[in-house]
Amino acid sequence: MKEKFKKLMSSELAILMILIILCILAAISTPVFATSRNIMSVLQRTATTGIVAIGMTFVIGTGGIDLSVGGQVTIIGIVSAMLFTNGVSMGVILLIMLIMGIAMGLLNGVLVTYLKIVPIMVTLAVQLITFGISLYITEGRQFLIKEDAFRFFGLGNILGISTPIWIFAIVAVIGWLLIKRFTLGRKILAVGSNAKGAWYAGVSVTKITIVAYVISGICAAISSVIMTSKLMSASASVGEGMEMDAIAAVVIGGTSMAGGNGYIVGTVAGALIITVITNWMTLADVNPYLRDVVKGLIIIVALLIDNIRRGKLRKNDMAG
Amino acid sequence: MGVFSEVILRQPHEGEINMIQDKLELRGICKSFGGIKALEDISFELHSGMVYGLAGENGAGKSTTMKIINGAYVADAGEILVDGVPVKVTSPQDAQRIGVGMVYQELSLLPDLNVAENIFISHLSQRKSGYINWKNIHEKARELLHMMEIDIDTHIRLGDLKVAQQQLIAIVRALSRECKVIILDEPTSSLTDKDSTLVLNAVRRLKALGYIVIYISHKLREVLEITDEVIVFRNGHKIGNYQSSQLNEESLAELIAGRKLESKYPKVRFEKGEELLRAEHLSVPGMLEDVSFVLHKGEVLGIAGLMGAGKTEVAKTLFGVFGSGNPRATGEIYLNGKRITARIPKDAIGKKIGLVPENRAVEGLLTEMSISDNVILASMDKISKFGWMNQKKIESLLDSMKKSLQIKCGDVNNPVSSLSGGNQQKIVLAKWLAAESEIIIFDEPTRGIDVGAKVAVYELMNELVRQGVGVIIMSSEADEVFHMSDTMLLLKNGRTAMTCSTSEFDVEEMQLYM
Repeated sequence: MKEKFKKLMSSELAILMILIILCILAAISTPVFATSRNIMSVLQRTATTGIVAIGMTFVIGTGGIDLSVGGQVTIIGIVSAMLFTNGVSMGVILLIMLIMGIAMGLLNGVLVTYLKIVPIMVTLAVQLITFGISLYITEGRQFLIKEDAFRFFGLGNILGISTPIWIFAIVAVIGWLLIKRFTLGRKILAVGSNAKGAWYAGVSVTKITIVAYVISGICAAISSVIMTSKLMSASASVGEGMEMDAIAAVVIGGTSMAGGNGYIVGTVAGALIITVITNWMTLADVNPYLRDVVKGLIIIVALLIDNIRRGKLRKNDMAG
Repeated sequence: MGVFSEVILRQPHEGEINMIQDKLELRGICKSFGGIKALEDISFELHSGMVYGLAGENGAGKSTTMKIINGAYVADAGEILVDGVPVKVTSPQDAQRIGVGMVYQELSLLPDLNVAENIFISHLSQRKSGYINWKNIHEKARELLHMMEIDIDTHIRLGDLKVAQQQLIAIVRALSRECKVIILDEPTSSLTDKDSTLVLNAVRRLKALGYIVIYISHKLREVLEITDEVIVFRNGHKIGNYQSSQLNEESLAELIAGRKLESKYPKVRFEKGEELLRAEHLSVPGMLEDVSFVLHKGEVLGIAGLMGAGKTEVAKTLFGVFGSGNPRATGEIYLNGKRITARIPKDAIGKKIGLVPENRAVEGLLTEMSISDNVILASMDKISKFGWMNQKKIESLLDSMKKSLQIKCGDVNNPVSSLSGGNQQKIVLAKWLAAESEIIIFDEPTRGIDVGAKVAVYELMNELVRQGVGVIIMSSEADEVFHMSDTMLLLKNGRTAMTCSTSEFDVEEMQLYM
């Protein structure tokens, strides 16, 4: 029994326990939290960052980082709004949104691999460019979307469960399968674990790295569809700070920033933890100005618990 | 003087622990780790102005003995005597106080700092405030270099020096603290023969200056050349002290191994079959020049040569590492009579070539990934369909590998780093067997693995050859290549020094060409 518990604690499911404990605490202190309506709203609100975080897991798995996701979500949303205004059909617009995500992922990937610029700077630059263009186009205005059919992705529901939750679930399952059951996942983690060793074993490090950024771009596009549909508008500020929440979710989920591992279940739990905390504070009427402080503290506590759990604190890293 | 003088000042009774003047003695030293005896009753004396070699296989007790002398370990029993007076050495600080200086490999230096900073890194300042008097530091660094007759500017960035020069700086760093005993652990392991002379000259200089030098190296020839006396270890026992002048490489190797050497290499010879692989005029700018050879079915091709002679470059050329970018290999490779080009390892793997690399932890394995992932890494297509991995196929593959290679491991989901060196090497081999490689190149296949596991690796080579796999073995241990191969190629400075059939030559004769 003790062995089993130990094994569970060292697996990626441990983070789920932290999430559950957090939810129980929230439910006890503010009973409103436990209502099915509130739970649904938490899940629905996690979808946009959660999906981006799933894409981010692949990039971080290769040892990289993608700071451009917030910018990607924003600019994709704005372009879609402009296309709707110009009467382009929805199917075409969805396709264009997806292509934009792929293209920006490719751009990041090519700059990182072929042109050998470090990921953090490449994606920071792309972030600046995408936000900059968004501001330039919108001039601070909001672009409204009047196409009713588009409401489905962010505001609709299937079998009583809102569409974003479905999409989030599907992306999570696909992401989990890709990492656990497909060779692509093994290759991505191999690149993050030891790129040279992976290359010597015949893994196309360049190709795999680019694919990881493209997956992140695709996730940003999907997230943008939900976000834009939910607001039925687009502005230059919608994706702001998203990359940081996504990175926090990935790392809380147990994925190492150094690459070489990637836990989708952890990432989903990590994203939920962040929303649950925000939601709890809203319900408990915590001063809005203090919310980020609490969020930051909780992130540190979550990571600390994770380090204790893995016995990292006692380990002498320098002795290795 | 630096920190050392402060240490003296902190001693209430000056003279209680004195620095070694003439003699360091170990008497009856024993050390166990968890019930396993690592050292038993080790005694020897070291005298001023002498160079001592420590020889033995991995795990024989050399490094444990060194760690007791430099204070990293404390002996369970026995004494350490300085000039006849017993002293307690229970920490590296104690060891420093009696004057033991350890030279770490050049890897422990800081490439972006300059020479003087590297020499005095641990005691740059003599003041409490931490203020650094650069003029003084450079002056003292110059004095030390001058004393050692080394001509290097103290302002040069360390990373801009040759590796051999960096090793010299590592020695000077040890001298920068007052000391009498200098321990050198494999100082030339990453140096070419030519560059090693720089280090050997420095050792001679240390001897002339009256230091006690302890020299550890697996390069037996070097040990015999530089030392006055060799202390041989085997299974935690001291076998004896020998005058270096009365030994030759073979007798020393036999003392180390404790048996006639032939039995170490269970070579099986097979009938020579058709041509498997032919390399013509392989060259890599600055590393390899016009090397050609042929590998036949049923035989092992051995490539010998010292570190830096070009063996690894041949392996990497065959494996496609130098296929694109810079440096780039030229020449032709024929597999089963057909010309092949491998621009990257992936191409070579596709042509059924596998490399068991010299640098196992970086190029051979993903040490933090699971045993299972490492085995399947080069044969993903075989265990998957449209990228979907077939768990059953993976399991049966792992089972057959574990059986045929006799890999001892618990859960295949554990990281490779949890395995012993020998088993790790088997995982690298399993990767290529899983990929159904027809040519397997072994570059330094037994480095860092113990004797028993070495024999297991040799037996696997025999088995591979029996199954018709082409085997190429490269090693800087001439014996290993000589005894395990049928045809041998000797490289020197990137060129072919000679090619021969191992049945026509003997090791001594061969070493004349190295």
